[in-house]
Amino acid sequence: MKLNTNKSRFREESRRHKRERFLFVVSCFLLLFVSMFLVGLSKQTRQAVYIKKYKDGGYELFVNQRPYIIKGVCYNPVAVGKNHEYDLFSDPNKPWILDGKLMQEMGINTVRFYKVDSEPEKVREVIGDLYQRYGIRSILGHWLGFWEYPCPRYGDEDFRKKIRDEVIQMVNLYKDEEGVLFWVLGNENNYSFSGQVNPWSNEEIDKEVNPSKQREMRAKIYYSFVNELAREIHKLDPNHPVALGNGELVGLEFANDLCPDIDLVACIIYRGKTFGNLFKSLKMTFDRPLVITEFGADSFDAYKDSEDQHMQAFFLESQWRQIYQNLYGDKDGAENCLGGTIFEWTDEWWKHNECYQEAWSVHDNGAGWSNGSYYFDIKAEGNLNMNEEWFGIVSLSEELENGINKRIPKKSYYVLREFWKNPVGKEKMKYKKSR
Amino acid sequence: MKNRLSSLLIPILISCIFNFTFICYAQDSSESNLSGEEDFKKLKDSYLENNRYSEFVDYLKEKRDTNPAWVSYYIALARHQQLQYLEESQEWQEYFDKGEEYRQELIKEVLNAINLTQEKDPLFVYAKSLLWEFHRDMQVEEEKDYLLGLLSTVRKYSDAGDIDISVIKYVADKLNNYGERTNSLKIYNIYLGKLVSSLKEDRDSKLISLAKQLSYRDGQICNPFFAEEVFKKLKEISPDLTLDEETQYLRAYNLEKIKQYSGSYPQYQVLVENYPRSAYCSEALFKMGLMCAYILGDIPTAVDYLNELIERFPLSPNIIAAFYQLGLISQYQGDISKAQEYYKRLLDNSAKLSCCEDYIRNVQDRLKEIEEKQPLEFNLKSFMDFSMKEAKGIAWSNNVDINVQAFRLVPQQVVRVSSVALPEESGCFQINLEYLWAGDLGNAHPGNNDDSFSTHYTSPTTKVIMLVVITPTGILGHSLVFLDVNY
Repeated sequence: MKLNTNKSRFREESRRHKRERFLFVVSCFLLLFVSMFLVGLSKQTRQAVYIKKYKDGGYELFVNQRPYIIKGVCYNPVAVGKNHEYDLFSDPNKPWILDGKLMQEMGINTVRFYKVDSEPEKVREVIGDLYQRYGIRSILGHWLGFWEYPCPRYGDEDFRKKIRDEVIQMVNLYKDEEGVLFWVLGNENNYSFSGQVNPWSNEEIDKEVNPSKQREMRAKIYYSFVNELAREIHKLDPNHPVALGNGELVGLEFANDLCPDIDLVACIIYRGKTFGNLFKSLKMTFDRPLVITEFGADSFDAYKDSEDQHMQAFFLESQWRQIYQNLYGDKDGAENCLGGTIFEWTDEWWKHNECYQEAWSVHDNGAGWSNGSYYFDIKAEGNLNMNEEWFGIVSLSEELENGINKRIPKKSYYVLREFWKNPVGKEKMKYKKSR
Repeated sequence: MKNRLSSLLIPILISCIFNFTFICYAQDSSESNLSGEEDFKKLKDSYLENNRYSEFVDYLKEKRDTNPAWVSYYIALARHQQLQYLEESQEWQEYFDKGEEYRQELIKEVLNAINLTQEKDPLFVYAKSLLWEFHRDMQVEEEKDYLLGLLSTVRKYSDAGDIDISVIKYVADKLNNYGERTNSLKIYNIYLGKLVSSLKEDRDSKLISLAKQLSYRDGQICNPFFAEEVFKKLKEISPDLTLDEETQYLRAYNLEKIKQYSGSYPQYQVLVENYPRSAYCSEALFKMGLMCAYILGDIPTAVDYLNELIERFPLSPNIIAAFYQLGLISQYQGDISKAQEYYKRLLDNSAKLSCCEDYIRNVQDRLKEIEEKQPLEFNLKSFMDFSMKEAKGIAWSNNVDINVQAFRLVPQQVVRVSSVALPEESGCFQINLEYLWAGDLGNAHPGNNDDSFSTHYTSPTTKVIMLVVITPTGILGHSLVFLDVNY
């Protein structure tokens, strides 16, 4: 009897075990299904790239649900002997393969293209190669006709339509590319508001005699136009933010009212060792997250008339330190910075004497403009200390390797590589800091 | 042809084999016996002149037992030089990938050398110096502590009896090379004191060597004021000593470059008296003439020196400059016929010497002024008025100075000339200054608002640049510099 009782108890227990096992397997499948559904749902509702605004006013960039600090470079590696007409995307030697590897080794995760007006398939190939091979994402920009001859006519509807069509075309062509990070509209177009750079006007502006009012009118026309573009881009592409490219913070007080559809500001800043009050100033003027899409230093001492890689490394390290101090999470900073793209990856040999083809093959020492914030060589003749051909963090050599000018990383390449390994900066720098 | 080729090749081949054997032997012999400082130094030179840093370190590690303290020091020294080399040659890959490893090794070995030696050992001082240099190069805050440690070490070392005083000079030179001028002077003074009190035969020659080393040279790290102190000390302890021609010239030149013209003038006089056939005589006579005219205000003596130059050195390019200055002085004094005569002689000699392109335009301007009965060019007259009358006999002004990138130039070499003007403190109000440039300005034409300019010269003579700086209330000061243009 006792044995029978034991047997039946055993059978019962074994049945219970089977039932439990079945329930466990079913619930596992259910859980898997639910989580897959949720992930899919979130993918549908969340942008691939988006900016989160926190309650305390800070901003943070997310890519595929993960925080993303933009550690970037402006990428326009004009080959020695070529000028601004050089088309990277059509270069059969594919220099981006070599550059991407070097960038990845340094820690760069983003490149900025000023314009992408080449054959779409070729552009896709470059963006794809950089992303698939090296995980490097691309910021795609449009000049918004700033260099159109004779001037950018932002007050003219035909001109606006032409630009609008180009921008829409760019977005449609590349919005589904996995490596795209965001769009940048314009660069330093706001410097035209004063009428001193690429001056443009319309009848209404011409009638106004007060230069300050004229400036305001231009700003309103331009920023309204950029906002229209941003709104249209959002309709077409909800997955990528739209940035307003701006020289310094000039004119942004107007953008505050006119650009509600702009997601972030892409500023061009050359202030030497620090960015000064930039971050807090932007918060007060036009509260948007900031990417510094052009900044840096040249590696030529115009005063001593000789190369100085220490000087460039000194400025760049200091600038990056400040960028990190203003990222989200550092309560001492403005928490509105998303990162930056250094100007620039390689030197460009064509820039100083762009009218003379022979000069495109010469690494010219001439300085084209003056900036006292870069104080080491400001005593150069005429205070001209900014050597436009020497801004690269990688030198070019005339020597070719597989049809590409040999790349020689400068000191700043390694200094930033080390900095990004330990960006908090609490540890002492292990190399000579400055000159 | 074949014979000629072989006759060339064979000696080259033999010489190569000989050299190779000699180098191997030299290295081998220095490697076999590593007991003293000299052995290590020789070995270091043979390795490091070809930048074989890591090889040298590996070799030393094998020889650690022979002399552990020196081995440690030389490993540290090799790593220090290697880091400097990598930085200078911009070999950033190795600098950043391996640099930290080298730095750790350097620190470990140099501390080891310090631990194995005592304060009175030269090696202890060398190691302390290296430790400071390294931290100085790294630009870290602790560098100040290491500097204080080094200074204290040198003082203690110098207080010990029976020491090698060249160790003190070694540290002073290092400090001077790193721009630690005040501290280097302190250590040089200790060295100078030790050297002066020594009774060794080579005392004077060491003092001369130190003075020469620290005298002014374009683009070199020097300490011209201290160099003159050394010259004075030498004269004090050996009053009968006559400096050789080169050294005598260097002393006068050094004083001239630090604008101690009243001290430079008698030194040039000594040079001309002691070495009347010296190649430097024409330059010395010209400079003495101008110092007399524009600094001492002694025009007759100035004229005598310039005439002596013309008589004694008729083939010297400097006679062109002398003719011009004589003409200028005469014109300024109102002796027009004499001025015209000097200018004419300049033009006559110009064909013979073919080196007066820089003066032709000036002479033409002066002759035009004479012809049109115009006064001397305003800037030139202002300088002459101020230096010959108002400032005559008074101390050279410190509130106006002229800086040039280099004092020794070759024809066509571009040189940047800039002014230093120190008006009285005016708070936030900017004082407008006028810069009256005059003299030999080469191809430049600086305006009265230009505080600097670039120029170049074509003829190989001594040039003189003059400047008067004017404030709204009057003349702030004046200055003058000599530039020596030579092939």
